[in-house]
Amino acid sequence: MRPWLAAVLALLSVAGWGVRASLASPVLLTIYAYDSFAAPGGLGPEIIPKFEKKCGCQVRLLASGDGSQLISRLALDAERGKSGAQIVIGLDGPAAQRARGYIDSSVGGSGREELAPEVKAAGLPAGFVPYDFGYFAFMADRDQLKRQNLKLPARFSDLLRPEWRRNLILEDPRTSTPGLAFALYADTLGADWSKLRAQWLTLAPGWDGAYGLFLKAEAPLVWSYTTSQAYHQEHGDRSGRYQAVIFEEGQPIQVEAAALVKNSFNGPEGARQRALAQSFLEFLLSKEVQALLPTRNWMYPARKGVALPASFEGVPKPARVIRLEADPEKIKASLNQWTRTVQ
Amino acid sequence: MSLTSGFRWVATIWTLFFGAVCVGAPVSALFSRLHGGTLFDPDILSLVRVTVTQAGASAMIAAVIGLPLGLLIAAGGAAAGARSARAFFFNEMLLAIPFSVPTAVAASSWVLILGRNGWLARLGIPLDWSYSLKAVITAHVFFNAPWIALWVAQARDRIPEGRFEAALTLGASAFSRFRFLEWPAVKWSFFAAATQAFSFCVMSFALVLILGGGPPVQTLETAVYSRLRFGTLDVGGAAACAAWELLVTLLPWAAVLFFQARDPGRGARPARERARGVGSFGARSWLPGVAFFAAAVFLLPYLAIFPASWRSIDIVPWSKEVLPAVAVSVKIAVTSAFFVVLTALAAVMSLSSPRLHPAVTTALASLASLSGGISALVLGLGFWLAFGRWVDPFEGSFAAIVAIQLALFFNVAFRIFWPLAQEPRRNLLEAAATLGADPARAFFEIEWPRWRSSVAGAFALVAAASIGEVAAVSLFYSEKLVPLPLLIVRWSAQYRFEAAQSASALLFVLSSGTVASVFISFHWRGARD
Repeated sequence: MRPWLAAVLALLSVAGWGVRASLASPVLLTIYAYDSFAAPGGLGPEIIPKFEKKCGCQVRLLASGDGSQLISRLALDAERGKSGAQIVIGLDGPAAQRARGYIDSSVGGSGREELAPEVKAAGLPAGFVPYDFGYFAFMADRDQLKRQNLKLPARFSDLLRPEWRRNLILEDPRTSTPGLAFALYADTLGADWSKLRAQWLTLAPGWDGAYGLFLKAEAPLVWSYTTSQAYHQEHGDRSGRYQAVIFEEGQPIQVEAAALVKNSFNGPEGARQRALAQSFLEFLLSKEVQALLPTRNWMYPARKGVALPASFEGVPKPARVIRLEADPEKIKASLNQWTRTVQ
Repeated sequence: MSLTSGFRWVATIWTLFFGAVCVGAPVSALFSRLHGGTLFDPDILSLVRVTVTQAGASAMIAAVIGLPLGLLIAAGGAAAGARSARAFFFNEMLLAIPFSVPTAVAASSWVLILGRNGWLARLGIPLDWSYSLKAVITAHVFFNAPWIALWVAQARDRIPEGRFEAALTLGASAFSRFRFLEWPAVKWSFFAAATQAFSFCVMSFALVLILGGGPPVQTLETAVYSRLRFGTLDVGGAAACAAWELLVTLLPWAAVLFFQARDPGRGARPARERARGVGSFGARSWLPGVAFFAAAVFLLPYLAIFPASWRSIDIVPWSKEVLPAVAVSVKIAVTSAFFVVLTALAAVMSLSSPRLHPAVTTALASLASLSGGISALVLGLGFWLAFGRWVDPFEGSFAAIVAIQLALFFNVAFRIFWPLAQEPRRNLLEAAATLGADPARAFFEIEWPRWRSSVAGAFALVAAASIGEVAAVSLFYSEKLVPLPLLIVRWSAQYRFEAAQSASALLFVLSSGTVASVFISFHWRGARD
């Protein structure tokens, strides 16, 4: 065989292999997720293989700290004009409002039939598909309360009493989603920050830091979720040492959602990617995934009628649900006011 | 071109490349977002005041403790007679270990000690210092006093025995021995270490966030954190905080180098040899024991983490999750330490060119300290802004983590090597050349013996600090690149606090073990030689 002919045949076979390879390779879907979703033991590693099997596609999770850092990631992507993912998962109400500009608003919505009434009423912006929800609340350590001869507060305003001075662990509203929720909750209830600032022992940078201090018995109350009680019961707290505190004024709700990232479906596989991304959002609302949420995310499933584990049965539900301010400008003003008062 | 000048050219090119890629480009990208108005925002100016106060108080207390502690350690080594080398080495090791303690371990330990349910409270000592500026300063002092003492002890250890004997023969008092023998020998090491301690305190962020208790205890670094971390992505505000941080850390460095260059006695550094003189502490038999306990005191708080970790040791998934994370941490630490040492050696080599005017050398040495004033958060964001178009750090970037750690720790290695480069054994090198030795052999026979322990020490310190570093890795990790500090953060977010505590203890063992093993191996080697 002539050398040039051999070279051409070799090139053609390589090109043919390349074409076959591209036809055979599954479509890649990339998801920006909060860290505990993507980490081993989180929801992601459990549901992603199931979805991959269903769709015949490949899914990659890119973890990025917490929900608020996801917005930074979307903003930086928008700045460089290149999105690194097609889906973002883990934005709550205020975060969703801030992220609206980076989200494809043509899909999703919280008005779907199968959603729980609390979720439907959350009023997420267009484009967001809610998948779980929970109520922010103080968790109490009854052993500490007993030691300090304290009774559970019944109202938010009880927290201003002298016996609660330096007895609360909160999160910094500038660096933590639960911290921001507390600040907005306090504003909604008309709390006086100049009085409240004497009551907290510390403002931890995030929920994990605050809860870690609470478990070291640094203070009897920590700002967390009502479902933290279910976690403790599931992990051997038979005596009911850790208990969620429900206030007469009501508790704020947090609804977490996923969405498609704007301008992320480019290239020859864009249409297929978009269809797959939409089916992933549907998959999040499937009974199969929703049943896993209580013991993976320690949140309530967004879909109604999903059976809850026994540990959730004793978790108190608030009589009144408080919806927090979600307007980014108003939140900014509120935070500025908070900063001026507490500094 | 001679071999030496060839090496110097390569070293200069490498240093410039490092400066441009790891510091220049990220800082320029970030500062291009800086607006003059933001720079003088009253909120930011108030943060500058709080930062300088906090770092100034921390560094000053650490310096006041570190200077006598360093002299005591050196005196303890000198007074121990035949056991002097062993005692001095061991105390040096104890002083070096706190530098490597991961901030997560330090914060957790201090909560266990100072917290409301901590050891002191349970012992009935009503020291309500937790979550306040006092807690932050205490933690910073325990970090930095041993660091300053280490530098002072090493400088004091270089004073030849004969000088002390002469002083004693002439009837010099303890104060006179300190004033005329010890102070001139240690002062520039002391000022350099105190300046470095000030920089560490300015850029400290995990300790301030966890132990400070929130506003009003906040600094420029925590402000950068809140501006970048929480969705609003206030790059302009973060850049303004970073600019102030850079200025605040760079000015003391420039001042130290400026005055050092004008000190007529700065060049008169004798070659390193074991000091046996009695110095200002005198020759007392109890000195070695006291020196050991004084050095060990600064490690004690971190041991608080072990009893709490031991209880949950059986619930940690060691082989499935911890070992892979340890492997990633070690890989990052070894690579970062290698490049830090290489780059600092290259910088020292290029800056010690005899062709450079002393003023230019001083200016460039000040500039070399620039990276020491930039935090990982600032570098990380700058790196993203500068290179985000070409590389996607969100997919995990080992190179980006190493590049940021290189910039973070370069200053530590540079400060260790710079004094050695100031005192080359030119006469011996020239004699070797006259006798026909090639430059490489002359270097390894004459210079390397006095460099190798510093190179190994710098490598160990950087590797140990890198093992516990979490800011750079949290910006550029991926699911295949999760080091141990990040695993601890992740577990905490999943309610796995007890397992996180045990993994923190392992992190402490790894980082302190790195420093200890290098010190021990060099001690054995020294004893064998």
